[in-house]
Amino acid sequence: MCERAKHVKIQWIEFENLKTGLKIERVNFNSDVTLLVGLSGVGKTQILKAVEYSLNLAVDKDVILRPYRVGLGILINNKKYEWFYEITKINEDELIIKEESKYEFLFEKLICNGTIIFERKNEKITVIGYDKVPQPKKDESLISQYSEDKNLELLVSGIHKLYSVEIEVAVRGGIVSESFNQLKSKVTETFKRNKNVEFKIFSHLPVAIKLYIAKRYYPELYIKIFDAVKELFIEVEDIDVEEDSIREMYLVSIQVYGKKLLQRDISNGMLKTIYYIVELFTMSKDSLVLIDEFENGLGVNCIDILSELMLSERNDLQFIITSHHPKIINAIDKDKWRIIDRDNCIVTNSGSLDYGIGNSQHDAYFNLINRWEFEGKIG
Amino acid sequence: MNLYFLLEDEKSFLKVLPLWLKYMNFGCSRVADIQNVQENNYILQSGQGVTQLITKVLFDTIDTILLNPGKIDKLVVILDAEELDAEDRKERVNTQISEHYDTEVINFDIVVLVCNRCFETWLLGCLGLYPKSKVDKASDFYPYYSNYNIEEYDPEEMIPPEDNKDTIAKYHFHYLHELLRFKKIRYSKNKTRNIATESYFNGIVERIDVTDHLKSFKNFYHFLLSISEE
Repeated sequence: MCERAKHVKIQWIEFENLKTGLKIERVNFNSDVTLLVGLSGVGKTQILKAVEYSLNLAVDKDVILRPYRVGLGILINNKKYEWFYEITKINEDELIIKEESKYEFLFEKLICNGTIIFERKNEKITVIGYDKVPQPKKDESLISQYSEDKNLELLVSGIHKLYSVEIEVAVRGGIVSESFNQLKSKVTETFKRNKNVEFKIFSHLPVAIKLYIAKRYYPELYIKIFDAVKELFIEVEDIDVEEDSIREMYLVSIQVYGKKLLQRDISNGMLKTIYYIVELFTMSKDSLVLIDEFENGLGVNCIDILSELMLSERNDLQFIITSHHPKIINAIDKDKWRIIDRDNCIVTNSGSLDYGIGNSQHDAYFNLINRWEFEGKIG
Repeated sequence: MNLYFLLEDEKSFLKVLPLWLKYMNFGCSRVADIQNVQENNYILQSGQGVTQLITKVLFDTIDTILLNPGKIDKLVVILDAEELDAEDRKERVNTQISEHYDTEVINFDIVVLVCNRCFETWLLGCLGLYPKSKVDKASDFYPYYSNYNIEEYDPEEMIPPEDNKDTIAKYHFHYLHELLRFKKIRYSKNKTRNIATESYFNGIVERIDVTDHLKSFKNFYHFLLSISEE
């Protein structure tokens, strides 16, 4: 029986885009919350994208290769994994190059607690425990190709746990009735087989179906969600999932003053808040949550309550967040900040103490703004 | 002598003040933070608007100075009078302080300076700005030009014409903006380069030397002079 990945945390990333020359110096992440603060355009979003891309690349063979040189540190059950890879363009002298296979791995190395698990450099490849290995595919990570190997099982299951949440894209979507009904019957079957199934097996599903399942099978979880929504929107009497018969889709609905409102009638800010809350309570344990510009689309009345909820409700989650909003910046402890800066193509970062913030009684946002003004970065 | 300047302004005046101090050979150099204060330093920070300044930042700053004894000799708060009477504005700040602190605890000076109306009012005081030849009626500056001669009369006393809905401070900003545009000089709260020159500053100083206009600027200027003489 292989070891189960219990505590999974991203520790650091370093990244270089070999095409554009953008280089992100190593950023260390906290095991709970890391707030990336910095002026627009310094590279905060790039950091989130680099993390997300690398995690996908590690375990998914269908990820489109890009010319990156990356190092990534992941801690799983006290084991320190360090993964380095470099993807390069295939020799362009060849006459026929398929669009999708323009790039390949030039270099890849995995270290666990200081021991090299595998390394490939051009054609040369070594894998721990094997004298000789067949030539691997050049367009797929070795982690993915050797995912069944005992030395990689823990890492692969750990990376699968770190599913990153992007709420922005999904918020106006729904689930077409046909697939919703299929999912519904699958859920019913699951419960027929085992009444005590844990919610976590549904964690990866879309918000609408998770809400459906929580309401019908996990009353305690549903009450948590409902109470959190109610704290922000006192007028909400019920949250559910309804079919929109015109669009043949299942969508989130709420009941206000005895009247049902379908997703299309709910304001964007409120809907986004509900999505956040559902995700927050239903995300599987130890997930990595990447949120770019947390405040986007949220009402001023929701921002601080939602950030408080996020920081207090789920200690197991690892958040990497970017924000420009004073309420969020002030709500997150200065120790949890990475201040992102940019010097030409180099994206640098520092902690608030190295940056000299925190020597006064002013709030953190005040200090940050005044420091940037002093340095001539804003005005 | 170490000073802590707290400005209501978050843009133009904040950018210009360090240059003015340089032109005056003020003798103190700017540092980022109270931890960096040694000898003859000043901190300059913006309260990000008057409301935040007098309800929060002012107290945070006083607390910071009290927790770093011996670092700061004077806290200088600079606010715009805007629609209020300059003395009223000053009084409000002093009341805020006395209501929140035991004055015996405060072992440094607190100086409240009020810019009568707004920073642009002072900028309007620079001698030689007002056009000498007649301004064309079609010009965007004409309504301002015809309303008030800022060269002959005190810019601090200027009020908008009755048909103008601007507040006094806004009107002063628009007056300056249109006047400079008429003279093909760009000015906005973010683009201060053209009014931040030494000759422009000397033009305002000259104004208080030769007239009794711009009393609030005079007050401010003389205060800084007295510090640099110390």
